[in-house]
Amino acid sequence: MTQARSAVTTRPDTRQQDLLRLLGPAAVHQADPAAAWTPAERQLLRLTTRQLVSYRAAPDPTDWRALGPVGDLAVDVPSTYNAGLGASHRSYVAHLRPDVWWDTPQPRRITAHDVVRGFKRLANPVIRHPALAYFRGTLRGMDRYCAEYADAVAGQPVTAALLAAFADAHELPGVFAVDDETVVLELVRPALDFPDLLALSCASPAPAEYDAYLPGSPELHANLVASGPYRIASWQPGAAIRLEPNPTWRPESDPVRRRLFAAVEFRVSTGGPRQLADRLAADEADLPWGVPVGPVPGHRADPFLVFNLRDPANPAVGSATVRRVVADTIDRSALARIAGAADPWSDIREAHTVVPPGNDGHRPPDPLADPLPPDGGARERLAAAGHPDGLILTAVHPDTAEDLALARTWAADLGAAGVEVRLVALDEVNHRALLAGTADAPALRWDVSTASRTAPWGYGNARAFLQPLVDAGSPGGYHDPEIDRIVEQALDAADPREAVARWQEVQRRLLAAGAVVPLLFRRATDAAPRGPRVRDVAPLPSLGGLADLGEVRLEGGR
Amino acid sequence: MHTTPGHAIGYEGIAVSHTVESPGPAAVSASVSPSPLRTASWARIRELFALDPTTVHLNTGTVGAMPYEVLDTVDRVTRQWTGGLLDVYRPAMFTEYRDYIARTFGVDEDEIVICHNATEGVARVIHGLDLREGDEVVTTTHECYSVLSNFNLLRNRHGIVVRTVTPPSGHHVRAEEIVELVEAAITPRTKVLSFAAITLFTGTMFPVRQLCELAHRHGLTTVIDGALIPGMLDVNLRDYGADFITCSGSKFQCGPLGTGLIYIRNKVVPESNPLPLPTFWPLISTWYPMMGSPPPRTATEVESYNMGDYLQSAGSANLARGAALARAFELWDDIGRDRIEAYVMDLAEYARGRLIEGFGVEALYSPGADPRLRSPLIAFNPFRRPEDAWNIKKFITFVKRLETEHRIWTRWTEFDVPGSPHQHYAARITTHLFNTREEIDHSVRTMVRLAEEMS
Repeated sequence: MTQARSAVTTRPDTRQQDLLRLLGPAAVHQADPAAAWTPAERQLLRLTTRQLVSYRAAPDPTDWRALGPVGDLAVDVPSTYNAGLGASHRSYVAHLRPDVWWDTPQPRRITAHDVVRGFKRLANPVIRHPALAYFRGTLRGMDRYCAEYADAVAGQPVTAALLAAFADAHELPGVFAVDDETVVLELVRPALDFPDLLALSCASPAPAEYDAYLPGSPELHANLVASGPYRIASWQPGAAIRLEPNPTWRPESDPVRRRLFAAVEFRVSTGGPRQLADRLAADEADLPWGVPVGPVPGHRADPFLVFNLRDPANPAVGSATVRRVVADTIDRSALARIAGAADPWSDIREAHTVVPPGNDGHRPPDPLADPLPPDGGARERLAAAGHPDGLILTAVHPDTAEDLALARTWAADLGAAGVEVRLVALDEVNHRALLAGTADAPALRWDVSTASRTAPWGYGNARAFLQPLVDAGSPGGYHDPEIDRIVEQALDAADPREAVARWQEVQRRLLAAGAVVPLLFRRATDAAPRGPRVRDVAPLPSLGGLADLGEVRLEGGR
Repeated sequence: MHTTPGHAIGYEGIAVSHTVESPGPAAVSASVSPSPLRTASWARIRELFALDPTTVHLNTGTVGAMPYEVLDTVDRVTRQWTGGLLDVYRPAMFTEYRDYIARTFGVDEDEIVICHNATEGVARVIHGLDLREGDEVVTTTHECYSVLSNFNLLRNRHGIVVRTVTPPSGHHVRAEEIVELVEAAITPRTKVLSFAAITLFTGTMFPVRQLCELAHRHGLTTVIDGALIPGMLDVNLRDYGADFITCSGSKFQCGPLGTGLIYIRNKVVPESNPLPLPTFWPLISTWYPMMGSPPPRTATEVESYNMGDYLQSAGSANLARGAALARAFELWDDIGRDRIEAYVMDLAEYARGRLIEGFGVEALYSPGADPRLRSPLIAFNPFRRPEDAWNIKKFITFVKRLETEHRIWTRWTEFDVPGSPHQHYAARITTHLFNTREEIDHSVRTMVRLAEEMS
């Protein structure tokens, strides 16, 4: 690995302990902020990047201090009290700290122009980042910028130079640098969750060096530039990652992160939960990787099913009746038992709504108010929909033992109802590309896929689960003009209660159309195994309960 | 107690008009000799104020400069009451002061409350409105934060709907545009119309009477942020036709910080406002009945109960500040409110002309072509590049450098402009009775030079 970085030799602080070791099933494939998205990836990025605002670790993850972002690269969260937020709530002014640096050969200050570049990279048409759904309807000009970006590169080989040329020639109207220390972010309409969006790792600033590489590419990963307390020393996707201190990071300019270790090591373990617990107990590692370590307010949706309505293998999934048959046929209790064995550290529930409990907009099923399933068995309903002989669907799922076991179970349920399911296991990279519909996705016609989602922010997050499912870049391409109209109402609502009501309406329509099939909810608990050295660990709600690795206390440490 | 010629208003020996410069009584009648201040030169009047002679104070829109007599009153009355065993509650009703101030504004004592500031006043009004879920309030995006935050609080608490319009800005805006814009936002569910008499961001003098008549036609309650009215305008508050007007005592009126007024319409005078009195809940009240309700509100020109007393009775009060505010009112009446208004407005027109010469008419956010909309607050963009209008750093620096390098006190403001996606910023100056044309000339010259340097 030949990273462009500062040449300063790291001299570990004498207070630091030697090494924090993580071991577990997390498959981290991205450390590029413009491409990374899973909680485990964002957990890693928390150590290597800075955002305008971020969350602090708090002893109690339900405490408001853990749920509300604070200034990170920005001096403070822009607000009306610090002249950072106009009364219209559509213009944010972020003032950057003067002493935050890129880990470049000649250390260089992070400027407002780097923040602008970060947002332009997020809009790139190569990755189609899942969080774009939030920004497109919120950040002024983002929607059009994304569309024009995609048009500009369509039909030609996408190169870093091509992307950089577009970004250089086109301004993103809603994000501009007033000077090196000041960036303005303008919204289409007020968004009370905008500081939470700014805290997403995909909203990180980007150094100019990144323009030389395709987003998310191996070449970029060989040239990552850190701004957080650590930098990536070695990177073996799917196997191991090692972090070492970033010598340009200054603790006095980072109110969010701490650096307590001379190195952090991530190793992938593919064994089952018992094996992982045994290895941690044997002090092979300190913390599980990709396993939440403590309870956070909200459950996550994991897994649920989405249908491919863009270019399905079987056009039958275009029928709401067919989709509802799938939704009504699957026995969630069986799934919960399987998941409970594979993931004994989560509180697992059957899911019948899109938004999980503990998140804004969750609405428990109401037997008195919710529409009853249509009369008739699954076969009769399929026959009425024009499929008297049943049908065949191609289903994709991540290539893990648990995902396979779950898929086989619900596929068996569907098979009994006359829907034959052909399962296709994809590794995480290909599965993600398939759902995003990017150019590098495998050439595979599919009908239904498992997916999962963790709310990337924990308070006022009514749109966190729903908007990505109905956005233009949604995994299956489901589109309902009436939902578009309701989404606009939700985004326009000045009263958060009104917004929640509208999002619940979106959820009702999605479920009624069978566009999404909730299967299970999971909530982190504090039952996850820890190595014997671990004295204390702080789960972050924004990471679904994964640990803040800057706050892990080991035996003998401070 | 009503004031009589030759005696100052006050309580239990705490007279507040004891100065050689202004010996006149609180209530001026035809039989009383006018105060010498009535004909005093503006240079002489300027000497009344505790101004730093090395500075140019062009920020009365934020806070005025206190006259020495007002300062003295704060000090004297504070000392007089400190450590005493007197009954502090009766004087805290400020009955005489309210009576005096009410008559200054052409209203009655039962309709005036002395409170702590305009923000407190508007909060007590907004939260006293009888609004229910689904009721709508029409207001503007150019309101003071404390207006919008309190309506938002009502939205969260009771589920009301707040509709905002963004008023036009610029030299050529006309009153009719504002009235039409507001009218278009009114729906059958609208219950309240709320706006600033003079906006703090662009210094637009809203067409208050026209808007109140619009409200009357739609049966709406009117809540007016009149923070800048006292001390600037020689007005009869009742003539506006509003239900509630909240005022600052420390801006143009130059009273102590922490003083404000609430005007609450407490009788029906058809020629000013023919609507029935709105249901109102006087928040923070000692003397609101502890059981039962007050009698029904009057439908005539005779009040049914003293709503002002309900609001005024809020425990102990800062007696010194009340006395000092009353003293400031006396001073203004001695000088002549009509005279002050004419001077302030004339100086503002002079300043407007100089700013147009220096920066061009397109630089002005404040209306000027329509005389009905002019105020002594003038907001403008001093920079040449259009995009600097949404560069907050430039405005902060501009105002800071005026203050630190040139000792000129101004402020920057932020607001929406219709059709623009940006939050706009402006430099704002305010003219008052202690300012002079020389100060305006000096300040505009300095601002032109500084803006040129910063452009």
